[in-house]
Amino acid sequence: MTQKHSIDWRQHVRTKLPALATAAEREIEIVDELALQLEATYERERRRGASHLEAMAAADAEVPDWPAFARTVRTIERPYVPPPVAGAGPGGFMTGFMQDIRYAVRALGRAPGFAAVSIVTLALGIAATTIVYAIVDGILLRPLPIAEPERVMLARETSPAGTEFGLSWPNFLDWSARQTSFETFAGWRGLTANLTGIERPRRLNVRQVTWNLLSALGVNVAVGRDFTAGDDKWGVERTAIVSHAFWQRELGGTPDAIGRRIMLDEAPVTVIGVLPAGFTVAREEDIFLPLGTYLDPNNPAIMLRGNHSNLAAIARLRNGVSVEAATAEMKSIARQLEQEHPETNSGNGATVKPLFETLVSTARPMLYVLLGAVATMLLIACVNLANLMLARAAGRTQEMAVRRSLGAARWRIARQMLTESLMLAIAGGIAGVGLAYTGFGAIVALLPANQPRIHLISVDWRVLVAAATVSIATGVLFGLVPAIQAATGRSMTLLRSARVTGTGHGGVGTRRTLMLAEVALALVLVTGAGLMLRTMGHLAAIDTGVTREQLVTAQFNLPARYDQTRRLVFLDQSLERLRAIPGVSNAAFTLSIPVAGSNWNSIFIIEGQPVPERSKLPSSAWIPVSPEYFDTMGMRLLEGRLFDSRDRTGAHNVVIVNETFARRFFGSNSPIGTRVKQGWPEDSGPYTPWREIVGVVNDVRMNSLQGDPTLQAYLPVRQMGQRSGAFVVRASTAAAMLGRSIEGAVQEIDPNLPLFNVQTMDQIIEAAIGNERLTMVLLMGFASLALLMAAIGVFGVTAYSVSQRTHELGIRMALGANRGSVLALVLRQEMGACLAGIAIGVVGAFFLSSLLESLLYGVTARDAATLSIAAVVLLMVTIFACVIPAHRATRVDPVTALRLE
Amino acid sequence: MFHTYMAPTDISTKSLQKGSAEFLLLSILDGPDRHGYELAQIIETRSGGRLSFKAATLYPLLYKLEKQGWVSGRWVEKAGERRRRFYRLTASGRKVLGARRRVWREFVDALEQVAKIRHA
Repeated sequence: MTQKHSIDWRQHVRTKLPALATAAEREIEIVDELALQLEATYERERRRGASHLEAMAAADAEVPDWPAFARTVRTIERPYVPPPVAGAGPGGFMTGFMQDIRYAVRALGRAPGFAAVSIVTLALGIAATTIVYAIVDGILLRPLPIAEPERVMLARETSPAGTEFGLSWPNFLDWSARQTSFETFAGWRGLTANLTGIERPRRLNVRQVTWNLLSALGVNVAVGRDFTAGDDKWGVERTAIVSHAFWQRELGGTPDAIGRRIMLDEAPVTVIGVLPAGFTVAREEDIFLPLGTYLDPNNPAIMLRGNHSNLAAIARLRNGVSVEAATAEMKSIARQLEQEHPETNSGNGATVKPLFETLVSTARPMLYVLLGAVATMLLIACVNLANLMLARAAGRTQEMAVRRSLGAARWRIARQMLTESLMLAIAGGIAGVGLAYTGFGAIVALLPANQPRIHLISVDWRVLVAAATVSIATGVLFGLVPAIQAATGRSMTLLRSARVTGTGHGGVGTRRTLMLAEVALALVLVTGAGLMLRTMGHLAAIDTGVTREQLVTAQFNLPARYDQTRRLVFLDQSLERLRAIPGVSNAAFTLSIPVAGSNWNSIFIIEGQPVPERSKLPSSAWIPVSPEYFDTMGMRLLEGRLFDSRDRTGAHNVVIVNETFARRFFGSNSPIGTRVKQGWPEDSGPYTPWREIVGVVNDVRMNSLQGDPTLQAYLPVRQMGQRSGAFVVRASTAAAMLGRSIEGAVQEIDPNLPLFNVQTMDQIIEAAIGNERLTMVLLMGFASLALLMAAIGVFGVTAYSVSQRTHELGIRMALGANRGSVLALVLRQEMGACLAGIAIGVVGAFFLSSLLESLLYGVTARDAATLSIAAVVLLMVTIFACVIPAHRATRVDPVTALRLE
Repeated sequence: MFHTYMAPTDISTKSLQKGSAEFLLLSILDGPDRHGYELAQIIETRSGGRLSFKAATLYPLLYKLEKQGWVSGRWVEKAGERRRRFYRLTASGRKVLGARRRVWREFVDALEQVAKIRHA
């Protein structure tokens, strides 16, 4: 009677065969082949009548000396290294590294779906990060191209109300003479000027500066010479230092450009120097001009202490003097001046801030929010990928177990897993940078055009280094958890169990935790996006007070040859031509364009009302306009009359005020017939006559969309002629196409007059809410991606957990559980984690959204409705992502499920 | 005229043994594909039990021939059976076999001439 012996020949060979130190697959092949041979020998001997033990002996005689056999095979196999030894080979660090890379490429090639999802996720995340970083880098991080920028301050005056404004020239001179905190005390003001004498007149950015500005900044000219005190005087030949870009574009970029004359505002200016390439402070400056050559001593307005132009002091702190000490000194000088000149300086203070700070302070909150949001999104992408990697690792338990059993070091397996993550991250990074290049222009175009330093934003090596760092960091981040799990797994025992059930170690716990984190982070982003969406909704709904559609504005600045009479003729002729353009229904003149900001603010008093103390005098925007202005803008007359042909020079002086003005000073009474006067109460003379209020019009948003309506007073342009201002043109169709026709019409009157900032009212409003719009667009994008990734994460974990429980669910159903209860069972477990994620997310959003505070309008950062909606959105998405795989669980055929065992 | 695969000076006892074993395997594989156990069986049967290749000899030889590109192995799976690795002669293996056959023929002829082994 022969006894049946069941022998696992593979296991038999494995126990005998020392490690071959060859590729895992190869080792398995050799084991299989030897096992077959031994088994065949055993069977043959048994057939010949040998006992079990005799047959075993014959089989074992096939390989009498296992160590010698292993040595022989090793010498044969060793020179042949590939297929790569993932985690088992000898070889140096780099050899192993190259093997890891080759192996990773092959492994990912075998899982194209996984690789594609991972790379696309990463590419989107890294593209967003790259663009946001490029913006942050351009605006916030790049140092000013000046010496020791932290010592360069910008100082201005403050009004009694606490708002900052420019220095008056006499105050500037006193500040400069009395201060001791600064080693150089210079001044500048930004303007525009017409460049003529070239083919097509152009509007340039210019700065009128004191002669010592460049030494305050610590910058040397690249070509030519700096200004001297002698250049900075009224009546001397006017000189200019031009930007490198202007030198290249307009002057041929040759040294003989020094000494050349250019025509600015139709007056000759001699070029004496060129700024270094890449020198920019707030914007791409075109030309620096000596301020002194513009300060006509015969013009009394210049020496008025109460006449605040947009002059700012640019000053370099002495070594060892702090910003606080300098501020204290300037404030004390302001107090001295207040006592010396109470009639003009009452309530005026001083502010000193680092120049850099003044350039970036408006954009900073937005940029921090965007950085935070993009980091959150990238984190979600990492968590999502870590989850995918874990799922994949679970499917590869057997492979890892084989490697471990064949002697691969734990750290080698971990490194292998990390290499795969890094390969994905690098591929994602490359695709992401490509995407960033493509989408870069569109995103940056959303920034307001007047954002300082916007021209510095570019995708350059700094940004690429950041993108590469982020890619590698994400690769390590999402590869770490699976790598640790892979390395700590057991070896041989798993090999067998894995084959049977396909379970991986690590289980579903880690993955569920990651899913929870993903849901929580996504909720924070969705809340942020929701708040911005509501903000934009409120901003878009703001009544600007004018009909914004089909309205074009074009600014101009008349040169000195226009006297008051010629200015009015120019206006009449231009407006006539503008109205004659096909498609134009009306045209008018204004000094200040709504939303773009008031160009003239002035204190005033009202006849018959008590005069407040000097520091408490009210201030209004004063806006000279042509009579058709109100019609053209679509404004409403609430009381009295509009301007007409009566309101001309020499006639009775009149003014139209806005609703807020009327209500503030007259309450429910009518202001019509009351007179107002600009300037100090004692001022009298041709510039500050008493004017009678003849009408009341609706409020217009003057300086921004947000905030309370300001006081507004309109003057007839014929009684207050202007050198600069803007045409507003109402079109019946396609306003955006009118720009060229408008320029053409005006240049028929004066071919040397360039129009600038030709834009539609819509564009002006867009620019005014550029920060909010950019934040909203990006947050919406990030939040959508975050939702998608969270959905993928929840779906993946649920599907995985359902697949793990097929057997259990099968038994439940075999025992009579109905589909509803199985569905509920699965949902309960997975949704538990989702709900925990939502709860954590709500708490996180509650605290984090206050970072958005400064960007919000019409909604508070802790808006319960937005938070609830965001939570519901997350709930819906996670339920949806849960239900699909959970539903699959109810389709489990109990018989099939049980057969799996 | 000697072939580079086996210069006559190489014919030491050791290389003779080794060379002969390789030669045997190559010769058998100049026919249908065979798996390892079959190869051992054929050698044993054809030699009437006088030559016996244990696994310890057979497989390292096969691996070496495979590494040299003279034979190639592939796994064949049949329902209900464990997978087996079948070996076949490659084109370069066939060339080597031809050369080896010539050299062996010359060698055996030389032995015959000198030692009259067949008439001993």
